[in-house]
Amino acid sequence: MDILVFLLSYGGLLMLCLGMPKHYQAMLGQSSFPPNSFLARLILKIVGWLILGLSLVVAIATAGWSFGPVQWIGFLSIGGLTLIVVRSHAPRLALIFGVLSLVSVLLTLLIHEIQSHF
Amino acid sequence: MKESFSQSMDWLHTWAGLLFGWLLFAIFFTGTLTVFDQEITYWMQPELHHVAHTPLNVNAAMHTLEQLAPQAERWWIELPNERTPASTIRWSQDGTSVSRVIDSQTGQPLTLRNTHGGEFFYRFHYQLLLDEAGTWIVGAAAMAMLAVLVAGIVIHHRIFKDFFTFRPGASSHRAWLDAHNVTSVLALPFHFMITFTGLVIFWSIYMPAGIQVQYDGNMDDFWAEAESFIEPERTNHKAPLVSLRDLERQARRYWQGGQTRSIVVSHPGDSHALVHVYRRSDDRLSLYNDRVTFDGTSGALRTVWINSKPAYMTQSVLSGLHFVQFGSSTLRWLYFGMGLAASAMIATGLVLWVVKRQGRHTATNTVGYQLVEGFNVAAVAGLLVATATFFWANRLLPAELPAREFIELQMFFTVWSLCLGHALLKNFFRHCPSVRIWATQLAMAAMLFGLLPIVNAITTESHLLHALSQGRWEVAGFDLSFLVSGLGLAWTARRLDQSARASSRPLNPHPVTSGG
Amino acid sequence: MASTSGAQKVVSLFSRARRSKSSTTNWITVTSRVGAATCGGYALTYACTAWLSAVLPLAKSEAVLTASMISFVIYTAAILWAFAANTPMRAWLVLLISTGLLSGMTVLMT
Repeated sequence: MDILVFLLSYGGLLMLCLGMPKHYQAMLGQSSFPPNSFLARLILKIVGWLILGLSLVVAIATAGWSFGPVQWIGFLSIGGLTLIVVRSHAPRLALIFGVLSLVSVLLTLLIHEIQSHF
Repeated sequence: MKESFSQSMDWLHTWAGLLFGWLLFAIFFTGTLTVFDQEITYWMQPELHHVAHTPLNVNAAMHTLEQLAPQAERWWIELPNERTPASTIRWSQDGTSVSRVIDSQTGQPLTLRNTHGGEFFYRFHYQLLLDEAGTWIVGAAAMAMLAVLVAGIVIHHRIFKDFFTFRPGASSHRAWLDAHNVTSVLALPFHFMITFTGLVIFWSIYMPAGIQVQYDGNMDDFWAEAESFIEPERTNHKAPLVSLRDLERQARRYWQGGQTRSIVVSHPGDSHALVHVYRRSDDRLSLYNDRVTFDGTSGALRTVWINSKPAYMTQSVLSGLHFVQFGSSTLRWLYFGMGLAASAMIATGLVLWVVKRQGRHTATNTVGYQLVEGFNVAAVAGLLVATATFFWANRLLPAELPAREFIELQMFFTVWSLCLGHALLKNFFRHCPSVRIWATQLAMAAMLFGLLPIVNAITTESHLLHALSQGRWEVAGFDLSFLVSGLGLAWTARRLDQSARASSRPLNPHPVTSGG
Repeated sequence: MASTSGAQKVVSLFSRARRSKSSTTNWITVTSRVGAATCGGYALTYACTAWLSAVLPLAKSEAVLTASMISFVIYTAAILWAFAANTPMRAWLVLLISTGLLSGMTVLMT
């Protein structure tokens, strides 16, 4: 379950990164909704922070109240470093990896949820 | 006013960063390795690799101590844990301390090659092997680090705006600055935490003001009050020690499932002997763990000390955060990663000092500039070469060689000095551009690290494939890490070499003849 | 020769920040500021830790520990202040006067 914290940190930071026009254009081009719209940036930022919040919750759930926050901060740093390195060499890949990681986290949590009901 | 404030912070960041940067890199890099100190010691004593994880027979350890050190002032018995199967006994006598790794069941000392192992990196990172003087030097460097970090936030005020920006393809100054900013900002909580907690651990050495005012400078009085830790004087009347195994069992009853880390006996064999049983702290953040003290001759319970005072608890949590004795191996790898980020931040900062002045020919032709270039290479790349040498020496020096642990250290420091000599000589006399020297030494480190798995395979029985097939990650992890470091360093060296070639082309004395 | 050029480099960097003219004054300024930061800062921190250990309304050992942990924050602030102050003289004066005041109060309390 440690890996989930990493994937969520990466995904959350990616959203925050997309919330900055410069990075948005590098990764998505001028297409889709206008990157300079205040609302779009705000939504991306809120979603980003929410995902980071979720990753803290998962970290605490897996590692406990004392180690969880420490692990979370560590994963945030490592996730951020990964994002920056990938983003600067292959912006598109950074995006694809982010989407994949968020989807896989959702699936894992879903399966976990279903299993706990049966 | 505002302008001059950020200028003075810039000055502080630049010069304190440069002067302490070399030392700080060494402290942070060896500190990063210390995260895995027990694993390193285990790897450096391949004789231990056959030893199975078994619980320690405490009384057998006690009998060995009675035979080996009946006159000692103090005994330590350290129990094995998940990170190492080694049980260690230690004793101090007339100001020196000796330790032996013993068989957990029979208590007999094992014949292992002598090495300082991970302990070397541990000792070096907080006192540079210079005892208390070293502690003060490292403390000064840590204070400088705190000031430089704050000054750095003031001057690089764009760091949060440029949060995700790294442009490796940009101008060399820009790219190095990005790398410096990225490694600083992303691990900023870690940088502050590890520096601050490092100082807090040694508060009684660095800032004894409170002890002076409240306890007239007597540290023992402080411990007596804070930890209810009181040790009576020796009586010099002989008295036999009770069974330590029973005391250890008794102590565990107070901890609700907590395990024993170590047993300490003061004045063993004396009628005033005391037995302290310490709880392991790897299931909690706070480091200074709970203790149960017994009378050594009667076995009567003296003190059950459980850490509960708020300030004391805060200090133990801060120390615990620094020592990372807690948590899973994931957490240790995270610390390792952030430690590397901190080392990279310092290294890129040092490089930036040089790169920033590269264009100005008045600045670059001075001896001072060349000295900085040389010291930078040796402090960073040279330390990597020396570290790899240390591991090579461990595998190549015969296991029975007398004083081999000192030869390992000698080789480490000799190679490090040679790297400094190489960097300075090349720069002064051959006018070799520093990128070239960087590339050479990094390539050297890459080769040494990359070949370590082969050296290991030849000199020991636990080579990579063997360890992997048995699922022994604590051994295989080293070979794999060496391979990754080797590849990473080789890639860096190649890139530097390419950029050196690219920048030296216009100055090439033999122009390429066109049309061949 | 070589070392003077190194020295000039430091001085030129510094004079831009300080807008002073004579380079010898600048050397004195730099040394004075570094001295204020390290020695003056340590003196202030020491006095402040002693004073806090005496006045904090906690058990003795708790007060000492709290004060000692805070001391590293105080020292950092003092170092930064020594470099941020308008003149080194001012840095020294402020640091020494507050050191004196805190020491006086501590002596009166204990």
